[in-house]
Amino acid sequence: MNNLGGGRLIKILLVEDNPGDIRLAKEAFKESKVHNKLHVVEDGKEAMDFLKKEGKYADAPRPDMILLDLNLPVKDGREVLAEVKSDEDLRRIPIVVLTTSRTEEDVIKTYNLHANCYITKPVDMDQFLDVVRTIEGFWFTIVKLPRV
Amino acid sequence: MIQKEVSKTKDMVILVVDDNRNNIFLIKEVLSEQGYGNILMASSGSQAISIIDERKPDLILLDIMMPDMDGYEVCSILQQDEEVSDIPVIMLTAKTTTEDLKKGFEVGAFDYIPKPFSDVELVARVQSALKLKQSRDELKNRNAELLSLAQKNQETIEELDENIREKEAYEEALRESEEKYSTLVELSVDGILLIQGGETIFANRSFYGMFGFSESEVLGKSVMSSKYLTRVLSFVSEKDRQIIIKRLSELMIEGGATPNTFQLPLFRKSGEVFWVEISTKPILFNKKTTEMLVFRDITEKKEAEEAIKSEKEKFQEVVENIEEGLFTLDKKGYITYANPEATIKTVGYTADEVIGKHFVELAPKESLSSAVPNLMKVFGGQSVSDIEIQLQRRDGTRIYASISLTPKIRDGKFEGIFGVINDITERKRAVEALRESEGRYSTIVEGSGDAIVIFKRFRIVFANKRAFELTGYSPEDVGSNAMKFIKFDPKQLKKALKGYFNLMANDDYLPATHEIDIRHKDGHIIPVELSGAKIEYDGGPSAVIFLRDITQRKQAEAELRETLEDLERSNKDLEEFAYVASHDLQEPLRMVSSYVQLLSRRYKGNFDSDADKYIEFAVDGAKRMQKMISSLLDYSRVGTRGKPFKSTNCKSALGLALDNLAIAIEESKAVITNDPMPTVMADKMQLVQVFQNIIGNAVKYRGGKVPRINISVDKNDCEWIFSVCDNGIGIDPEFKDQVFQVFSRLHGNEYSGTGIGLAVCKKIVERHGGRIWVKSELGAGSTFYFTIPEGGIKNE
Repeated sequence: MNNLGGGRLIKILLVEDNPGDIRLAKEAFKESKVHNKLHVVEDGKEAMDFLKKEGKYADAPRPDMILLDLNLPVKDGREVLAEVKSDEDLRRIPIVVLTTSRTEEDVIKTYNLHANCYITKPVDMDQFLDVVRTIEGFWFTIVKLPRV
Repeated sequence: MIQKEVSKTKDMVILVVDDNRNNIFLIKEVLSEQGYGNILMASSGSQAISIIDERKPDLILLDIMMPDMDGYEVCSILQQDEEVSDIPVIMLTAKTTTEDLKKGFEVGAFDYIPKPFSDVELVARVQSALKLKQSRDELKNRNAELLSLAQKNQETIEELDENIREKEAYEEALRESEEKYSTLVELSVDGILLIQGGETIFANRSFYGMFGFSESEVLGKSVMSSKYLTRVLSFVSEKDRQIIIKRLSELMIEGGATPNTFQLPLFRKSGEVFWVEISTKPILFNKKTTEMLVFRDITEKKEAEEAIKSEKEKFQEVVENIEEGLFTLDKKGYITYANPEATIKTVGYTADEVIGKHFVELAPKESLSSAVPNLMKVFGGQSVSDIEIQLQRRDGTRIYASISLTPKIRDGKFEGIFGVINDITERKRAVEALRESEGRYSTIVEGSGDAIVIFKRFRIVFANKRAFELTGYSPEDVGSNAMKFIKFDPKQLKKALKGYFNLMANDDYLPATHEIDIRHKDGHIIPVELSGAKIEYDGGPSAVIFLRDITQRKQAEAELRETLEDLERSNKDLEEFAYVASHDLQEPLRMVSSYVQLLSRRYKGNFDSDADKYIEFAVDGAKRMQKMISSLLDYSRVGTRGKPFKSTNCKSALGLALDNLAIAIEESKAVITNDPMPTVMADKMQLVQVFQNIIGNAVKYRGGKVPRINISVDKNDCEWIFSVCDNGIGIDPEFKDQVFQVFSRLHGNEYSGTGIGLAVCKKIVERHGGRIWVKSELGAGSTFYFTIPEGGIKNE
């Protein structure tokens, strides 16, 4: 049941353009008890390249989870979400939408695009840490995910 | 009878004088249409005079403004000619000042028609003038007939008198030689009867012939008891007979030197009545006192006299009954006769009261200077006609009368005055009322800011000043086609015509909502508001159209629309801005608070306690700001992210709100009650929010007490009124409006919150077309009211 048992390295792809948030996420995961590797790309196109192992990401690993911001340059987070979820192979990777937007519209639209989970970025650090811990605990401890 | 008289006036000859041939033809056409067939035309004063001389028309319609010889001149020339002076003249004039009119009437005009005139007015005035002329002519003819009859009779009487005189002379001679010339007695045409001692002793042949008696019936009979005489007198009344017999016997008894004469109607033997003049004279016959009675048959003379008398009576009857006031004045102007029409009906006096008065006595002082001098001209032997004068009736009321006076001249001697008087008060009042109403009407019409156009069968018959200004056409264009005058935009022409036909067919008013474009003469387009009505004008159905220039209104409307659109856009922009701004503001804020916290987390203890405190303040500030931004987002979302209204069960909305407040309600042990809830048109989630915010406040600001909250519902004509009543700390009435403003907070830190809740409620309620307000006293609880229109707001 417990995926963490073997101390397997959990690969997480963070798609986020805001350096502050990137750093925060890194800090949060640093404090995590889960053995993780956080890969960061800063726009939607790079995210797709990373996932499809294209260009400079030819050697990129397949992430266990994608943390996706919705408002991204070049290619929007919603497009990334739609593309991933319509890809036979990639669609099984759980996507947690982590965004500042709290609008009902965004929430509904995101779920309609088959996001696995929608989380509004908390304003304070403690809550942020809680969120990260909860994500880990839920997705990597409780939930049974397919192997690859 | 009336039919006949009307047709008689239609045969009367009307002369139309105008230098403008178009006017003549116009009038001719109007009159012909009314059946007047004898219309003469003259285009100058001199031509008019020569036609009048030749044809003697019954009525003259006279234009005043003519070159060479103007209407006044024509009029005064006519007045000087007795043969034509009584032809009524109606002035056609555009000059209607009192001065002009006075001048016209002074030169003898009968009436006037102001130009431009209506067909109806023209016909009415012509008819009235012709009728007057007709009755005057009739009267004149009757007068002349009567006069000639009376004259003839007078001649007969004079002839007879002459006869009588001759015979008297003859009789005188006879009497002188009576006894000697007894044969002459037999020859006398007069019947002669001699009476001695009351007994008839002789009668001549003429007597027997006259009465039809035989000698045996007459001679030797007692006069007093004589059957024949009684019989002769039998037809008179007993009383009269006694008088006659008494008189006869007196005559016979007393005798006398001079003959006594009296007249009697007597019977012939045949029963026929005849008039006899009886003369008695005592004579000596056979040396005895003898009464001689001479009987003269005066039947013929009597009949002539009777004829005159009966003619006089007839004349009297006509005069008494004629519907025109007739009177006579003596040489000095004292009234000698007045018929009932002139007296009782016109001036309110009886004949007895008025006869003997001077005619001036009936005129009030004001008339003395104006009308009376004109009337006085009659004393100079001049006829005056249709002098308008004010008279005072017996009861003190004033009337207007028209008086005509003709001098009675016999054998070159002025003997008195014959007068005709007509009460023209009604006519004058009608004319004045007409003028007044026309004046009033025309002031309104001309002063109107709307263009007013009347047209008949598509022909413009009237347009006010504003109509010319609006369309750019001039008064010369009146009479032209309506479509030329009011040029509708071709696209709207069909609509305009449809409206017109609808109007004429249904007797309807065109509603004032027809907005239509017309073209000015110079081509530019004027938006107008068009309304109209079907009216009677000049005796026919016409359309009156009101055009209101709405250029300015249109502009204002466009400006207003633009402003509204701008405002709406800017409102929307603002909402959008607020939304985007607060949304984007969250990002940096999150950075601030997160990193300050991270700082504290990683380096706590490396700083002193102050530094830790500062970090705490910074985090707290950032949190509060985050809440405010989030509130602002909620607020802006009311407008930008609202849902369409649907039929919403308020019970369910209230239930949701209470669910959301469950923790607070439980903690405070609040007691919440509510009326049965209606179903309204609303955005359900927003309605939930309103309930939630207001009830949430009621719980929050409860003071020390257990909150008791009641939600009730009321309904007026058109909206539901919700009220949420609590027993909390209340609101100072001074702030009852302020509480609905964004970030307005009446309390410090003892109560948390951003002060957006009621502002959101207000925004939501207003979006639903309702109102929100509060009634409260400090410490006495609050009641929040809000309304939702029944059936929802029409356009959101």
